[in-house]
Amino acid sequence: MTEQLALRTGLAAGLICLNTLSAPAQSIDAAALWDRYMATCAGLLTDLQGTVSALEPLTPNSEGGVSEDGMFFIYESGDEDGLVGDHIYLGRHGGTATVYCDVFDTQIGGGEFAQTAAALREVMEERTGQAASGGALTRFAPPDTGLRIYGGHQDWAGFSVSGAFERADVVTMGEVVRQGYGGVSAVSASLTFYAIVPDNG
Amino acid sequence: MAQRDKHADGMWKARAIGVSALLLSVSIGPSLAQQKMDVGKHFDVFNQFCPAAMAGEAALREVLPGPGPFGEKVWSASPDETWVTYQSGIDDVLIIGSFRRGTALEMRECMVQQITSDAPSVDDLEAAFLERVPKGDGISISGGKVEEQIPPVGAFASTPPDFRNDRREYMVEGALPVPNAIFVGSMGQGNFRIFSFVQVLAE
Repeated sequence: MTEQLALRTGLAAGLICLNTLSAPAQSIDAAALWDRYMATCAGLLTDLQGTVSALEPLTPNSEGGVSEDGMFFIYESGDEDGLVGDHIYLGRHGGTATVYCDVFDTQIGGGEFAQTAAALREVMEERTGQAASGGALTRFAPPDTGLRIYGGHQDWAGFSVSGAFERADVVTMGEVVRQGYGGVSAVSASLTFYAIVPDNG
Repeated sequence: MAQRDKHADGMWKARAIGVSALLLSVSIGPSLAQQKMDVGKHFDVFNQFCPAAMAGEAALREVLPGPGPFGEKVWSASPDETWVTYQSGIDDVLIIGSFRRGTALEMRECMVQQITSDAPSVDDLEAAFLERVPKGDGISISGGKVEEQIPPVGAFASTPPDFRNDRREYMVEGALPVPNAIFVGSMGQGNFRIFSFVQVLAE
């Protein structure tokens, strides 16, 4: 979720400071993020074993990895300005499984917070036909933690919507965060769900 | 996903590790005192706040009223008040999370994290985590070592093809008093976080 994105963004911003890249900024494509969310996460609800089998090529020879017991998957890729990726945690316990599926897109120097937040909300509502709840807020960062680098406050937006999947009890959570350090800004967006699912594996 | 060249190159790895360490110092900021990574403190802070967060906003506000120890506001809400967030710290250990409503369900999350360059090895972090993680009847744990390939794109373009980011990812179930709450441990070089998450029927 975006709490993790916040820290990835800090890391990426640090990298940009070091590398002083001047590539043209790109904006987050909310529709593409949604499409990847559905492609990555939807199958976990209906065909856990089949989806896991499809994920297993995420070996150390690809952009990502899988834990030794095959229960945690990570995939990361990207472009000149940022990272896109997925984090999937599985807990399989005899007939059912707990699934936490998170996809994200971080763009360094690209995107505008309010525009990205509006686009994410719009695509969440368009694709589900449901009104999303939530909105934007400011979080104040405690000064002695790693968040000090963000100048004391951060803009966030968070939305919730149901209807992405046939299961009405699965809520899609969308988040957008803007951060910056040393004159470098970044915008991150994520889509996440958490559910207990039948395990056909 | 393209297959990567597997040729070993120790110099690349050393360079990547060096960049990672430098990144940490840049990301954390020059004026922030570096405190040693303390896994026990993570669990102390987690146990102080996150079980309460899993029980609900009211329970958490009893132990985490604003303002925080540094004067930070701690609590924020979206205009429609369906998304309520909190963010505070105990020394350099961050506590952050939220409550989401607006559907028939309420989502609760809580995370504790410290970022520092003064950290033990990933093996030692994992050992400290596994020593402290709840165990016993009804508790299951999954996950483990993940050798993550960093995408060689943009700022990561210099990442060598044979470099693997060593991270350890665990999901623990049955460890928290709220049914179906999950407890996650995620750690890598200089980075350690534990978080919990649950979905309940909205009150």
